[in-house]
Amino acid sequence: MSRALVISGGGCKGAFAVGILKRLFAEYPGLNFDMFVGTSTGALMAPLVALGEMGMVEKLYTTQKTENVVLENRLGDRINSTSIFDASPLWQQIVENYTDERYNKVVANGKKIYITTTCLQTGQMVVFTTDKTPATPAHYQIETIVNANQFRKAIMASACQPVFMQPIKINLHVPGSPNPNFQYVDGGVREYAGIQMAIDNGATEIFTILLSSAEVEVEDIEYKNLFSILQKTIDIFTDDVGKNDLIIPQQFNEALQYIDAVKKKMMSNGVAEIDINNYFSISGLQTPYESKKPLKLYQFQPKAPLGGGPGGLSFDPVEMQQMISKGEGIAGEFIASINTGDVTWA
Amino acid sequence: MKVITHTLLLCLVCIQLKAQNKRDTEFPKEFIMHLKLHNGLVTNFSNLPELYTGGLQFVPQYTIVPQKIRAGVITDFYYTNKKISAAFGPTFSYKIKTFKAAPFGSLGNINLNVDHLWGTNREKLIGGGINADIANKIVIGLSFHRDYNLNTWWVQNSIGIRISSVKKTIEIFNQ
Repeated sequence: MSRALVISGGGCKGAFAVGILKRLFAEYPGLNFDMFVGTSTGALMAPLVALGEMGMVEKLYTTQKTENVVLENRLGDRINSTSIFDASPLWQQIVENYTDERYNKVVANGKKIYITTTCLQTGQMVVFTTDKTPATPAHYQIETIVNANQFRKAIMASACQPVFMQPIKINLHVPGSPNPNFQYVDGGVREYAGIQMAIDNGATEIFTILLSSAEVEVEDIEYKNLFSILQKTIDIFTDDVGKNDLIIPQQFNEALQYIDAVKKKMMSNGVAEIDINNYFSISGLQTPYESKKPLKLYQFQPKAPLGGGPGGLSFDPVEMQQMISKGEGIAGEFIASINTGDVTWA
Repeated sequence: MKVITHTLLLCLVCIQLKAQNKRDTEFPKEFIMHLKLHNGLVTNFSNLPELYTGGLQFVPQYTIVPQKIRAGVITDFYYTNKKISAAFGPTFSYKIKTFKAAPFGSLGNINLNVDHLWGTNREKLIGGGINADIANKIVIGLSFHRDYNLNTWWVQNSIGIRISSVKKTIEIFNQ
């Protein structure tokens, strides 16, 4: 069994994920993950969670203010720039916290971290990973990280929401890179949560933390200016990418469950297991379902929107503390509702 | 004189402390230079005809209290009374309003300026005005000055552009 932790994008709303993990680790001290998939804020959290540094993650997500992440500017000055905000403070934080030492520790411990980004030049999703032998699926590109600086830049790019924050040249100083000047932005542009990536790399038990709310909130307000409409539009896009991102893995799992049920029915009717497997194996036709067992998907999501401004870029320590509490509440509900037989990590 | 200097310094410190709003993006610590085209009239509000005036100003300034005050000099070349003249003197701008484009930054500001100009034809102008700075590119303003030497009033409007370059953000992560 391979267990994956997938954390979606959402800026400061990552505090909700901190709450979830804090409560889960407190309840199940033996809980560990074989792979970590992070998009945007999830990419910032994944390496630290992989190293078991939850105290540091919590500190980061309860003390940061917006100016510690992005700098606002006079909009007139940014017309010829690549972003509205300047993400230099975030880079400073990444350099300070995602040190060479931590990167080496991640690699030495064999922790498989997958960081999702989107390449502006190809429009493709590119996943940067510490996995030396990752799966190579057709619908996205995967690159193994070669050094700590590339690791930091991949995290930075994954967190940089296009238009708001600058695109990052992740491979600028990577020896032998064919396209060192390609620019990368937030992986959430293409995929909000990397559940499919976890499946592709063999995860069978997946904990997914989504930072957009499950329920649609009907607002009783009129949007009267350009900026509030832009903010709302981004939220709608993010929600939509999130929903689409979930549908495919859920359908995939339903198909696996269906195949598994059919196999069991055949077996109960006296068909030998070897024959069943032969029926489901078509030579020359590779299917994503072959030799796959139904997955265990555990999904954590806030019930109502968490706030946090456009793209989750308004970092308010008080609001983030509340998000942590909400996460702890949702994890508490999960702990109370899960069948003890399903708990493989206690 | 010492008392005045100390009082001014104290005022400056107080304003500086009050101005520590990191989220206000207008009047950052920087050098800025505007080129302004101005015109208007010179009058003493009597029955005498008013004179037209128009000219070109270079206004370099530096922010001495971030988010609040800029100080600099005005070099003015203008036409009035059938003569081309020049004037020079100090100027101070005080920001009174930031037009926020929350949460993305700001669109501009409104500032007041006070200045004193010495002209080549014995003019001694003291006064000020109000300016709207749009997107850190264009400034439009209205000014009133009193020439206390020649006993006239100068009422003018102006339009200017920023001619100093804006400091480029250094993207360390892309170097």
